[in-house]
Amino acid sequence: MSRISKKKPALCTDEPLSNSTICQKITLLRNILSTAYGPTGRLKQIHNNVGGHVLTTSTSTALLKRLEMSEPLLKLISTALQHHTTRYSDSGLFMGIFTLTLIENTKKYGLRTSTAIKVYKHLVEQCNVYLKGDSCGCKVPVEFSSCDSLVALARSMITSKPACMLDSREMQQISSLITQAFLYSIPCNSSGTACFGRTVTIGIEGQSVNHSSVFPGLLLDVPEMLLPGDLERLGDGPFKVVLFGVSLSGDISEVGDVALEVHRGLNPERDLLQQLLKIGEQAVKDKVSLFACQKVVHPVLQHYLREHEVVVIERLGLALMEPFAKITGARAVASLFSLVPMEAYGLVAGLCFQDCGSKKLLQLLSSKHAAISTMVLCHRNETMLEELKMTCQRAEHVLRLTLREPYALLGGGCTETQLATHISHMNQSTAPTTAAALGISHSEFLMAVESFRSSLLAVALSLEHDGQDCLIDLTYGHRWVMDISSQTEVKHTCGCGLLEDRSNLEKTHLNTACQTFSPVFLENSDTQPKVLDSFSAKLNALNVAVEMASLVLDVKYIIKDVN
Amino acid sequence: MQQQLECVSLQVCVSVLGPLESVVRRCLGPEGGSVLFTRDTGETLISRHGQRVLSTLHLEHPMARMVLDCVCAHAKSTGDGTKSFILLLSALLRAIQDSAHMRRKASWSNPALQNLANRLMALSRNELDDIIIHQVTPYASSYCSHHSDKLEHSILDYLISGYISGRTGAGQAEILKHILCEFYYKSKRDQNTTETISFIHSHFNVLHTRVAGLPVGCSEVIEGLVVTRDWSVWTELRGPIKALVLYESFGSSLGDNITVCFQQDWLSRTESITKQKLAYLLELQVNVVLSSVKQPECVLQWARMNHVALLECVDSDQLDFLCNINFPETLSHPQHIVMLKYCKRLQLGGLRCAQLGIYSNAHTLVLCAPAPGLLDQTVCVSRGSMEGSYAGWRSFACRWCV
Repeated sequence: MSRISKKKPALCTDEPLSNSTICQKITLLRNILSTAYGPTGRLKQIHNNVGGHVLTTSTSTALLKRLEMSEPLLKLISTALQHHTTRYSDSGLFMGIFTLTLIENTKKYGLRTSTAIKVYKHLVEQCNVYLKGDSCGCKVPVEFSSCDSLVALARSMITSKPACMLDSREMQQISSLITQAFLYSIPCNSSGTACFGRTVTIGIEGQSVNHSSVFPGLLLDVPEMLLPGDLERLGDGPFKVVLFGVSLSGDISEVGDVALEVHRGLNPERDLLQQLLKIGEQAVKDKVSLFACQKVVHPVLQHYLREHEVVVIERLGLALMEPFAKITGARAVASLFSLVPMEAYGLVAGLCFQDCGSKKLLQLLSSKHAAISTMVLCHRNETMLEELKMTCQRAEHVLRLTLREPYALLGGGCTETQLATHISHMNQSTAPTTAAALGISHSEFLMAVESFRSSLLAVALSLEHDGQDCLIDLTYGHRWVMDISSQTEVKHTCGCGLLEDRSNLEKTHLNTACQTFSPVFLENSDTQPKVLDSFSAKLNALNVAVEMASLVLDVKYIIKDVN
Repeated sequence: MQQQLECVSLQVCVSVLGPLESVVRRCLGPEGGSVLFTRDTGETLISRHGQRVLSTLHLEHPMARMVLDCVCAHAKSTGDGTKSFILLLSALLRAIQDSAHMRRKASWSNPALQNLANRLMALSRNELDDIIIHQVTPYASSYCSHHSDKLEHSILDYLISGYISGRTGAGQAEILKHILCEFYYKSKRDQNTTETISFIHSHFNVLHTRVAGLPVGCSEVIEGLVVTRDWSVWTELRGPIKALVLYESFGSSLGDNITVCFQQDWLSRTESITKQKLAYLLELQVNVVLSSVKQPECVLQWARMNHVALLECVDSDQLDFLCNINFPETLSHPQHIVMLKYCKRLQLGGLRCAQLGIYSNAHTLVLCAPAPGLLDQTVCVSRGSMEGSYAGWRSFACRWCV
């Protein structure tokens, strides 16, 4: 019986953004996100005082899932962030830092929230038009004729996650593996509608990263009691395959928790076993070489099949059913009682053992160019392996997104600096007319534009954590990092690697007010940028960030029900 | 139980209304903000709709609860003006309290207050209507009569946009207004306005889909019916399609207190019953099966073998809607056959859905928002705008004789 207690009145907060506690919490979250941003970002460790799983990461998804937020406004932002990263797998930290800085700057500049919301909406539309247009200086087309841009994109994703602890050679290897797996998953020679394949990821702990590789086809754990000799006896492929989706364990548990009434003289388990053996006989008669089941296979049936030189794979699991069916063309049989129809059989081109470091796996090769591949990732310990697996899956997702929009944005903070210069340049001359059209004063409009611009630059600034100076050049609008201690003659490049330093390139510090200029559009440059960001992800992050900031700025009253 | 006796003075009335006023005041007008309401369960609600916001407050004082009841009654009959109600009420009470000073008295005495109350009632009953009809309405009617040639289109647009601007932030109001008008015009075609609005209003639950994680600008109107489930078994289909609507599973449904009896030949009997049912379906030549529950594996296998598309776990409201709108040949409950124009796969921001083309002009409104709280607000506002337009349209239609 629940205790009956008097209902407590709700906690009301008027004008939450003027409340200092809430502002402190916003600043704290922004610090957490900005210190984790970029390749030199600091890792965050989340653990419970009383024990439990310790998480070390700098990825926004993992961080926000574990961070419990009591403030409803911040929870809103966190939920929106998590939704974005589920869809696009990138630019989560960018979105978080931009949203929170916009809110802080609006308060700092003393803008009226309704004015700020209108101006931000206008500015983000200008950004959209600029980024989607043809003469955008921060957009790079992704060429599918060569895999340089794809590898650069994958490499940028890996480099931005320092928790993977990879050195540069390992990073290069992993980025090319990701690109390889992505290219394997694109189907060719398929009739009808083309459908993406899949990359199954397997993690092996305790090995060096150099042992990671990509294999075509599917890799499975070697079934017990399968020796190399058995495979040799099978000969060369193709081998006939049958796939069962139901449990072949011979127990009647799928009926559920009901009372069973059994007639005299009947033994249901024995009857079921007879039926299973009948299935085995039919499989042997139809010359099946590989017998696979999603769930458990009865030991008597396994023994019978092994005696007749059939390879038995049990406990495949739901996750591997679809790739298996795609590779072999087999249709999962769902019934124990009827004969397996001829169309349900599949074919496998080859079966062999593969060595991954010290672990042996069974490889199934497809006979029909199915776009399935397996990526085996190795790393020294569990934390780094988890981070690496997550990063590789996200990098592959980002590569898939480029098929829809074949562009990438310059990384290393150069897109943000270019956008900021473009926005301030575009609005400088048209300020009076735009302000009048929006129904606000000229000075308010200029302040709101300045707030937007400085929020964009704040994101670019948070890439630097080692106390170096961030500069912007006054010709192309790219971001530069001045390393005063560097003595070498190495050519200095901008944040994305597209531009090389010249003596006549005038630069100024990022967080100072500088005269507005229009960034020069670089046509037909010979060099390729080394750091790239996903176009769709960043564009969506920009839009959702402004929308969430507008939403939070719009909230004037919070009612918290504490019952 | 102790009964608490409280002498209710004018001062108490004003102070009771104070918190209500402070909440409502923040969300009034075009520059107003929204109110965020959260529960310990994590549920969030963002709204600037007066009635919704006030109903979330847990009010202890009986007078406050009485005022809330009045607000709800007012909202039920008019659909609007709840915030103005509270603000006008508190302003009136404060003015009455302050006017005691004008009469050089410390406060109003009870008989004097009663007298005042009677006179106010007499004013509202006898004179207020006259003032509004003769002094205020002429301004509104002169505006409407200028647009009498495009009465239908613009009036509805104004109704919808007026409703929305008062209830969502400026950023979303533009987008929502545009999308709701588009939704209305696409669903209309040959019917008249009243029929269309009442159709949309009564079937709104079925005619909208929610997608979280995308900006509000990605909302759109899609032809046909959208089911937020992916096809379990998919084949390419063309032309008019026969679809079977199922409300129960083909496998034996086992409930509690059932005894399963194993008899002779139990193995073969289990399968033959399902097989018979499936064979019968093949005879009917259905290409698509729409089921409200999860079907067992054997049905999926049968569907794959026979090139039948299967959609499981469809909302039963949507299935009812399909059946009602299509005048089906009813086989025997719980099975119905409906005709569909086409079946497609749809991608809504990362979510895989099914799109069913139906032989009526219904369209689906896809509403997107970055956060679930905002999504609830967007859906509520859209639904309310249809209600509000229906009420507003009816009164306009009879007043201006359309």
